[in-house]
Amino acid sequence: MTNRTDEIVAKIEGTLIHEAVRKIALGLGSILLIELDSAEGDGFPASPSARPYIRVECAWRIEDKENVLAASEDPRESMALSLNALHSQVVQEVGVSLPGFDLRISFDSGHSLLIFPVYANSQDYENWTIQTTSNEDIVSGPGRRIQILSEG
Amino acid sequence: MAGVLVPGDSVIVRADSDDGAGDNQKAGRPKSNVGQNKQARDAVRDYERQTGRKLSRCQLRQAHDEFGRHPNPRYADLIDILKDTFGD
Repeated sequence: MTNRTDEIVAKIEGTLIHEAVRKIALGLGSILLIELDSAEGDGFPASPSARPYIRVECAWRIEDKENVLAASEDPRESMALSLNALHSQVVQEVGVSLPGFDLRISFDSGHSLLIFPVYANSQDYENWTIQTTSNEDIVSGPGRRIQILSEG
Repeated sequence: MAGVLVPGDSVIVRADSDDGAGDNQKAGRPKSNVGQNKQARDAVRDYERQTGRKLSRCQLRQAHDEFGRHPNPRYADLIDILKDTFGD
């Protein structure tokens, strides 16, 4: 891995591990919107914009240890129902598969969210975005690019 | 409010468009979920072009939340949602 890849993987892990899913919802289509917050619940809750956040615009799948519960081309009702399984679960481990930046987010309940980028040569579409609490976005995309963006 | 946000009052109607691929399909609603995902990004980009304003990271987050709350929006509905939320 390059230093930059190391840095990005470390930021992804540092942002997500030990955080709990506070809100999980579908946007348009199968876009997955996940808001996390400190699992410990110490102090005042962070404002929503200051919480870690994941937006998945590519393909995804939710599994438990034995079954596939949902995938991103399922009917909307079915996807929405399956999201309940992840609510309040704490991120235990994040696996990053290179070079494509596939993500496997594992929760303490034994569930996993697998995220598969589907755009490599597109100049228009992002695969996933992770917003950190330090005003940075880690973005897979457009296409195969991986970048850290910060807003001034 | 903590909880699973599901557009529970929405009636799910499959595509009113035949475009399974959904690429740049702007008249109706793409059939595939990934096609609809693309439409969300296209609508944001169109809105930014029309208004000359780039959505901030927080606004983009809000835009996706709003899209998910509307049952079966067409492309024009997405643009209207953005205009209603962020101004035109």
